[in-house]
Amino acid sequence: MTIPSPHPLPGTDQRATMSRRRFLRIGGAAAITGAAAVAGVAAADRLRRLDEGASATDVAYAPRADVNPTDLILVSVQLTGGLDFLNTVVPLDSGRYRDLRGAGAEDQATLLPLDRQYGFHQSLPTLSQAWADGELAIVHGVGLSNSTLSHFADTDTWARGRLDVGDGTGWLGRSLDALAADVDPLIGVSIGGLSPSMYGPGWGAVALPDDGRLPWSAEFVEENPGIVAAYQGLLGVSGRPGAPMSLAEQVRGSQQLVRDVADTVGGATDLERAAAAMELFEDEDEGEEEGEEPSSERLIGNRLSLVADLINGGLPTRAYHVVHGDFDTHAEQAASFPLLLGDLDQAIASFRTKLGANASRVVIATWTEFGRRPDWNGNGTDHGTAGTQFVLGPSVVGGHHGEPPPMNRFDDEANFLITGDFRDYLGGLTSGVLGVDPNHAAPGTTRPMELIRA
Amino acid sequence: MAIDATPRNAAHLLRRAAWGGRPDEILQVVDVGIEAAVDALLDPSQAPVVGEPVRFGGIEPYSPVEFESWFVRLAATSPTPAIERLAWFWSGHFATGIEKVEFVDLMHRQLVMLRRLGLGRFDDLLKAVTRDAAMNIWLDLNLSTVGNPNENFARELMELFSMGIDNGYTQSDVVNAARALTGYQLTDHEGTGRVVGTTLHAALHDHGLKTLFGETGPFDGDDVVDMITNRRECHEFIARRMWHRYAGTSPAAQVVSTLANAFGARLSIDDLLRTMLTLPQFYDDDVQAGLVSQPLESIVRVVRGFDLPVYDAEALSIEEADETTGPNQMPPWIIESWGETMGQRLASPPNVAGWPHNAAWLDSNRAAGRLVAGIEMGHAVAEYESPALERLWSSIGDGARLTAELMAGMGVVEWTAETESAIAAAAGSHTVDDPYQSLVAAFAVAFTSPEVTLA
Repeated sequence: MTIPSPHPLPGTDQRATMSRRRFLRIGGAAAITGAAAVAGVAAADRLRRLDEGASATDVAYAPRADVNPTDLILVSVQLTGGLDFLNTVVPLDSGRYRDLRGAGAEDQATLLPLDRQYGFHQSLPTLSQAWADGELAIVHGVGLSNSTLSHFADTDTWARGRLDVGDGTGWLGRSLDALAADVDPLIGVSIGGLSPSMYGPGWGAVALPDDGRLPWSAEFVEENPGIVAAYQGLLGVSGRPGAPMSLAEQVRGSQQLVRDVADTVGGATDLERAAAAMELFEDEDEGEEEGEEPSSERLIGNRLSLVADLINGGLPTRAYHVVHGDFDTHAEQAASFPLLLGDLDQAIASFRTKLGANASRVVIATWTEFGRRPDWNGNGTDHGTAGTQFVLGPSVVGGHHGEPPPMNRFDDEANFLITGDFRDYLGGLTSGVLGVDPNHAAPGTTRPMELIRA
Repeated sequence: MAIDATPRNAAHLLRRAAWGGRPDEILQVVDVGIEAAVDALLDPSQAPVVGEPVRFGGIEPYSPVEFESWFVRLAATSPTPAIERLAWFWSGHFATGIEKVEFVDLMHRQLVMLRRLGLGRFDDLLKAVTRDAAMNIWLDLNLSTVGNPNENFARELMELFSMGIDNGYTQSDVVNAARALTGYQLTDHEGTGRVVGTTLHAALHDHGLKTLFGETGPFDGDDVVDMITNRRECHEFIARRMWHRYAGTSPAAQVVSTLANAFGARLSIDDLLRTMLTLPQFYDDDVQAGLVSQPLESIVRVVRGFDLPVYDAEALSIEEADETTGPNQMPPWIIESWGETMGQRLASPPNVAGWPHNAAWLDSNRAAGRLVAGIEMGHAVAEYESPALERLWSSIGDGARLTAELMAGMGVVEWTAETESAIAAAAGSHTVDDPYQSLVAAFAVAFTSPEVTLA
């Protein structure tokens, strides 16, 4: 579907040459180059070098002074809807598998063999290569002991990192909060909406649009000085979304957060910076048709690409959150599942390429609210219990972790038995990547998994 | 105990039950009292007749842009805004996404159905939802057949639509309900392939015995709905959902009990809504500060409050509307654009649970989107012909009058000192050189204030 391009309203642009799209692009570009500005690369210097013919990629970013360049960074990839692990990591030569899945069983000949027992779905060549390189952990049978088979209850439980209701904070929010006495909200960045997993005690992480385009660009400031002035007047008001305070305080806080993020990430006042940014991002916009929107599946590529830009830009961020889905394959799974997996796999490949040397600092970890039913329902799979998670990166302890759920013994509701506690997974992940006590992420974790090499 | 019909309570009622009130409407509530005002708000006899998507359902393609413009215009101009607000509540409750349904006219039909039955009996509504073509596609119900029951709809029927997560049903109830609900198939219009509804095919329905909530019988889908809606869990769940979306806070147990009793007696949604809106607790301070306005609600509030001219999607095609765009009519894409910027499109909830609630709308991404949309709306308010336009323009430079005009259009009866000074700062920043920008800035700041961000 083509969405008609909005023409600029009278007054939005007195110079009358700037399309809305261009306006937004400058905003987004400023968001990215703001990171470079923070990194201490003078805008004027970059401009000069661009003028002298340097390519955008030559104008490298130096890391921010207070960022430790060896700190690991966690990229949390939430696979929404419930991943069907049985058709992802497929048992080889298993009559039992074929009995359970019937017409929905993957063709053995198409699988990418991992070892003598399992083969990956054919849409996962990148993950398959990472496995061969010893950089991929396959974590079997992870689930919630109190699963309700509800997407929402189980997603909430995962986001909280605890079985009880708790105080509204999330597993990543608490872990990041433990990193410093005075937390910079940029310590965590959620792409799209703010994931409840990133709700911290008394603060909330930063949420950026899927395309990174914040409004608070230099152009925005130039065109809307009245609003900027008014927002300046709101300084000193505390409050963050997700924090335990009144909604009115949170609204004030979100207004201020827009301003703060703009100052740090967006670089609000430097016209030169915006101009340089436009040049830097000209290449990326090439070939993008007006009005063309990526499918929801393809968005994972955009989201991880933005994360790579932010990491390369030297932000102090230690954890990113992105979502990919929808894996809720009750129907027509045979058609949608290969696309869902393939888009994820390609997005990870592009992400690691774009990261370059920074790939060594990054740990990608998936989580999904549950697996799916052992039985094929004729057209797809219904909600299950135990799920498989993946952890990928050079510092990951590669190989199988935990026990695959038995294929011949199910729970009372004909679902797979859970063999791993989600708290041990989240605790192991955060202690390994962030170096914090696993009990921050998952109070009550008893055996945090050893997923990251010391 | 009668509730004081103060201007604050009157404005609160109109912002929650409808889309916000102008000063004359607020004063009218003050005059007649809360109870009489609720009677008037929930009187369907004045509701405009809205039919099937006649123009849309024919051969012309129907886009989400048209659908949203149609609904926002209806909501903003309707003499019964509370009826439209209730249809919006149900469309969130039975959240259905165009990405999977694909046919916008089916989304239109669904909304018309929810509006028509929305104030009636809940069991009738639930049975109609079970037969709704868009819902059948959305939750795979039309793919659920004897021998191959699909649990998607059966689970969400209990979890999201009628009882609540893990609240009085088991996995076995879900499986048995799925079997009872088999056999619905999409029907098309005279063999054209255009889906218009559903029928129950006996050959595809599972006629065997099912056991649900401890009872055994050859149940069908309507039996499932009857069994569910007879349960106390259902009455309490629907009472909670309505409080959640209209009041915003966690209700006290006694409030839930009162509402569930009122609702359960006749399964009447009218009884439930009327009881809630006349409950003293609905006017408590924590409730008045307890709900974030969803983007579409904010859009309707502004369109209604400032009489913005949305094009008539029932009369004009998009192409025609594009040609007639001018001082008296906004461009056809504008409603969709504002919604997109703030992260809410009428037929595109993020998942089957519907739209986010409260704090989830306040992160830095959403706050930035609200600011951008506020600026765009400010341009529209300053640009298009409306009764408010002259008053607004003439108030520039007079801070007190400008804030009063913005309050009137946004359904607010008092600003905090912080917001008032922020509006004044914005309005004062351009007065000499560019009054137009002053107006836009003041509008955008008011729009992003807690007073207007909160419903």
